[in-house]
Amino acid sequence: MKMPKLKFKIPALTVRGRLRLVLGMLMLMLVAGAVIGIGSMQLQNEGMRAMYQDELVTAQTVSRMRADSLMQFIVLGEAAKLVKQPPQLKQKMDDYAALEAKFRAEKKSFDAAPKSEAVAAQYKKYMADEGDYVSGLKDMTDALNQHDEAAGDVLDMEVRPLMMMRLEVLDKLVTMQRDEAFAAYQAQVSRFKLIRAVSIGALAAGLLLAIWMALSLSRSIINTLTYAGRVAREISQGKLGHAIKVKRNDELGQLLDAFRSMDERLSAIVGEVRHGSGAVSTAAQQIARGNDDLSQRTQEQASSLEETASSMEEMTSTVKQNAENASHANQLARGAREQAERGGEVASQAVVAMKEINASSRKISDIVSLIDEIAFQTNLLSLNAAVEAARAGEQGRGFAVVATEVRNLAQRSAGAAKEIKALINDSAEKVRTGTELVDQSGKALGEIVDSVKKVTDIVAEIAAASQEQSAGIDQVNHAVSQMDEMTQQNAALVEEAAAAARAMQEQANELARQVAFFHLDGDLAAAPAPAAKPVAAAVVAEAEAVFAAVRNSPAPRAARMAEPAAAGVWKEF
Amino acid sequence: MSSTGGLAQFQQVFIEESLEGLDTMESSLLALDDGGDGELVHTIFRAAHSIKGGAATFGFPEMASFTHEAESLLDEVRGGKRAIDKPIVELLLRSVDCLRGMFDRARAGQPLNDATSDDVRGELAAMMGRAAPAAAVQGRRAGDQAEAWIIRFHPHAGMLAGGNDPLRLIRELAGLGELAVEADLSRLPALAKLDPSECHMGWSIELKAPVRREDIKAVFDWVEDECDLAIEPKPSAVVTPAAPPAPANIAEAAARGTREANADSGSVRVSIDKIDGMINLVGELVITQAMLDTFREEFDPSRLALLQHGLTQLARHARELQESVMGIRMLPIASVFNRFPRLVRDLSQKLGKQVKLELHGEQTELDKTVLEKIGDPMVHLVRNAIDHGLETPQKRRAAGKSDMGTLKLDAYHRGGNIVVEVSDDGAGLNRGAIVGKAIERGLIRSGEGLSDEAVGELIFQPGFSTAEVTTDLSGRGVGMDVVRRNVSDLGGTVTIRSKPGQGSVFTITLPLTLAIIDGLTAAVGQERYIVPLVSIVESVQLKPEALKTVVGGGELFRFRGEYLPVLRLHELFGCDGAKRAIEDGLVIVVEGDGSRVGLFVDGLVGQQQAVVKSLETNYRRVQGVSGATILADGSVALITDIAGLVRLHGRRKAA
Amino acid sequence: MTHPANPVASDAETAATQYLTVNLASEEYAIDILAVREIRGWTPVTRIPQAPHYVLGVLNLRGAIVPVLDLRLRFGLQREEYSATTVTVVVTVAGRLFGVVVDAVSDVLDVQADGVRPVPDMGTAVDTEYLKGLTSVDERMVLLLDVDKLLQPQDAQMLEAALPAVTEVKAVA
Repeated sequence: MKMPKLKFKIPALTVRGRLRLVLGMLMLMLVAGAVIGIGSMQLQNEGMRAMYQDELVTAQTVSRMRADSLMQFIVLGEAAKLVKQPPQLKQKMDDYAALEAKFRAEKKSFDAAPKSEAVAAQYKKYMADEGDYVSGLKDMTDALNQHDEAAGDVLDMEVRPLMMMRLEVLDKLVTMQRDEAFAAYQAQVSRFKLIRAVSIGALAAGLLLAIWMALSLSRSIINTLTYAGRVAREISQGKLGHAIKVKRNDELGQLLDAFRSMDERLSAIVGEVRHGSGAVSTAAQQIARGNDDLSQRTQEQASSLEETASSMEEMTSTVKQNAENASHANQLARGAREQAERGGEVASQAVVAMKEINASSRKISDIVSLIDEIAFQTNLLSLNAAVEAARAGEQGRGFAVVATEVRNLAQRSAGAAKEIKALINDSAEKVRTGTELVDQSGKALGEIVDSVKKVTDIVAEIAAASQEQSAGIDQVNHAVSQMDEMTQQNAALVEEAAAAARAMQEQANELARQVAFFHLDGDLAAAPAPAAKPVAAAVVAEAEAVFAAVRNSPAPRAARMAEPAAAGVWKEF
Repeated sequence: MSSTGGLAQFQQVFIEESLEGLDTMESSLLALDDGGDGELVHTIFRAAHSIKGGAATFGFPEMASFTHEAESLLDEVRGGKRAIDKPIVELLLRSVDCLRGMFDRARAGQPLNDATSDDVRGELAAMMGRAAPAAAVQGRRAGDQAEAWIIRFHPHAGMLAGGNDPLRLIRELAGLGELAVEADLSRLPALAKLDPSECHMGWSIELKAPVRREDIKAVFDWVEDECDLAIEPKPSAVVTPAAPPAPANIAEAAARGTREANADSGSVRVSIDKIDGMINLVGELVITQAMLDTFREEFDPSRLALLQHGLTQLARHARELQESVMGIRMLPIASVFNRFPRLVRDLSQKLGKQVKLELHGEQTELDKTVLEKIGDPMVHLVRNAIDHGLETPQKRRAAGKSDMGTLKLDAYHRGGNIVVEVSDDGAGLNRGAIVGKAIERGLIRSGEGLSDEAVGELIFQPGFSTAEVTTDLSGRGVGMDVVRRNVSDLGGTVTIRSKPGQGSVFTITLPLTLAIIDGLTAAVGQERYIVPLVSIVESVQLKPEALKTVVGGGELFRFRGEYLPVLRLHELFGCDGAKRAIEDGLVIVVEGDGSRVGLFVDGLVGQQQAVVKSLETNYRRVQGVSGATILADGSVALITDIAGLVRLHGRRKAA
Repeated sequence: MTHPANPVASDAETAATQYLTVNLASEEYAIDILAVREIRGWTPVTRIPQAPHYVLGVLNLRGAIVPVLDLRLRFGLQREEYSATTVTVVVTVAGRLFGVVVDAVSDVLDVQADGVRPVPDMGTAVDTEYLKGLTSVDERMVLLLDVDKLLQPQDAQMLEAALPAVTEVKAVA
């Protein structure tokens, strides 16, 4: 709903921009007029300067050149007469030289001066003949310097025609320049006339433009301001819901936009308040109705709880019996296990005994080996004795007999030892197989012990589970009685809630009356009450939700849930 | 030898005692010669008398009658009827020699009388102004001169050790006249039992020249106490004065030769004190044993300390008993020293030198075996010293010394050894002559830089004898090397110190006993060998790179700047399962026969005292093994003979 | 050291001589009982270098070092394992002791002098050189050993071992 602030668009200028544009246009026209005047005067001035400098000054230079040439000729002519009198001649010649120098300077300045095309062509013509004339002059001066008598002839015959041609050309140049000067003047006059006409036209167009601009500017501002004033007046009278269309982007557009959004906001608030008060009123009715339901249901709950408690009692006694049976089974299994273990012990004792028999028979075998060894040594000893007896000769006879006896004994004991050895080996073998058998039965008993042990364990687990179950049932009993208590409390709460719902309805009606001051666009005649009707379904749903909250949560929480609907009202309780 | 066994036993004892009596007589006579008192005469008389009595009792009438003559002479001297003088002493000394010869023959079962005894008997009778028994005189007369002579010459086994060469004697005889020599090989033992350092041959020599008996005797003068000598006129020319030795006797003599080794095992006289001490010890031992016996019956751990104590005591008693039994074998060296006054006297007279003999440390005790074997090398040294150690009186005077030269014999204990010194104040070693000879023999290149010790060492080289020092007495080509060999056979060493003009000292160092040696037990494979501690220089562990193999397969390693060959004991003895890599085992640097070698063994097991047992008694000599011993567990371990190993190694390499 | 009277002499006098019989490779041999010094069980011996292959080594007989030879090897038979019944008979010949290893000892026999027959040169395991004769006892043949010859140094090996010592003597002289 927010409008962008002063979003500037190029075609739609702001009021400030419009004012600046008009004033700028006027200032521009003023400057254009002044520039045109000064420019035309500048042109005029330039034309005067060109006329003077290009035409008059050069024409004068050419005239002076003609005069100097003429003077030269005259001086030469005098010189030719004075050819016989050197001193005079000499002076005449100096005069000539001076003239000549003067001419040269002037010619040079003419060369430098700007020339029109025609003048330049003419001047070129002159320059073409100049060589001949200069050589003629030279012949003349040579002759004079040699005091030639024929100098006069030369002058007449040779220089004079050339002189005449030169003068003619120069004359032509002067004339040409004068013509040019006149043409320039003519151009100046025609230009002045044109400038005058343009200046008058431009002044008239500028005046028209300024008038149009002033008119359109004032019109666009005044209309909008008037409209804005009307809207403000209507709002103050409580009339809302204007369809304000904003087509402009300038400051005035923004002003209108602000009015429009104010109108909209106010319309929305009033609508919502009206709608809210309707909803609260409906909800209060619903609450009252719900409270009735609730009290009935609470009654029902209390009776079912009683039933639950009695069935729990039955269950407790069953479980207790179960646990007793399990512990008895456990005792029996333990007894079986002890028996089996005792059997295993006996078997392992038998194994140990067998092993001992085995070890002792091995020891016997060792001893027999020792006896065998001793028999062997005794045999050797008796042989040694026989040897000694033989050495002793006759005296040793008896001894030899004894030795033989000893040897026989030794051999017999060796034989006996061998037999014992065989017997021992045999019995050792038997003991070995016996040991194996006892080992096996011991192992079997061990397995039995293991299984019995497992059974005992399982039974013990069952007994433990029964105990736990019994305890659990006790807990459930406890919980049920607690639930009963809660149900009683709930009933009291329901009463309180019914009173609260009634108070709330009153408050909602008061609110609806207050909001009726505002007229919304299109329902000027409609009363506040019917305004609640279209939203009734939604309100019922919301109320259901509120009741659900009441059922699930303690009262303060339900109140907090209802807060958005009627905050201010509730606080006043 | 018809006597019964019992009587033979007593005869043995009688002979032992009588020989001692003779020794006493001899030393007393020598003392008398030097101006002793009259009491000495009594001593001599008593000795002679008891010999006479014993001889008559035990069935030696010849001996009894001979002694009777001597006794009569002594009786006169004792009774003051006759003054004692040099000739009498001389004669009596010869009588003593004669009697010794008689006892030797009695022991060998030969007839007691021989030419010499008859001669001496005659002289004894003559001394007393009576005629000798007719036969004897006649025999002597006839014996003095004959056309041709039969000489039976049987050197004793040990004669070569004394530096006497039978061939030289025969050559000398040849100088007297034409000879027909027949060798008697009857005593030659089986090859395996042959001891190359002993003489096993005898000669029967017929000398076809009318020379005097004395001349012949002179030839054998030097060896007469080291051989069986019979000089008889040839039967065809003269009347036989005495029966020539029967062939049977020779055979018996041969038998005696084979049992030469056993002959050493004579009896020993032991002082009552020693025996009492032993009896005490044995008593203690029995008590200890009885105490230990109680443990066998009932063993109780609480009495363990007592058992330990008993075992300690047992060990101590056993050790003490061992020591005292060893002590029984210990005899004073005097019995060897006593031979020398006579020898010195005879020699100095013969050579015209004046010699004073000084004896020190005669009561020093050493093992009987060592004692028996030390005599010959010492005789050699003494002869050497008198012959060319001491100068003639003239020379001595010139050198500013007294006329009388001094020869000193000294014996003393040092550590576990006995040291015997033979020193003289004579000229000392002739360095120039020795070096010259050594160069001539190619033993050395030059004498420069040789220390005096090194020069002294040279004379111990085999066959070394300088031309200058060769006389008829000593220096016969077999010289000091034999002395050294004999001494080293006894496990000893001999060195010389000499100062020119002041004399020389020969030092013989010997172990106290041959019966026990200190040794290290070395393991080689499964075997255990004893290496005598005296020959061990050091034990080193070598790295493989320290071993250099030279051409010919020998291995060398560097030890203290010299290269020593490695002897692998398992190769020499062919043991199985021994370590082969040099770094795994141990190299024992040992010294034997003057050279050092490295003995490669697996390792050392321990040190112990080894009771030396002979392998030869029941088996034979084994090269590189000097004997065997019994280890603590009753098994037998062989004792290595370093010198023998070096020779064995040398031969292996050469082969 | 008293030596007993010569056995040969007593042989002539009594005409019956006692023999110790031993077993070797399933044959029975007899050793003159007067040559026997002692009979002892087999114990390991210490090997000696440079000995013939049949000389096993030496053993300690109450402090005496006694060489031991194996009769099987001496007779060129294969040596079998030394077992519990293996026996060393210590005999004395010419004053020297040596041990003879045999498979077992069995008995003492009285042998009449006229009961001894010469050995025919036939297929006994033993070279007849070492036998004095044979006799029969209860149908068994008993071979009489000549122990004197058992340790004679006639073997080339022993000669070889003895030779270097001889050359050394020459070098010294």
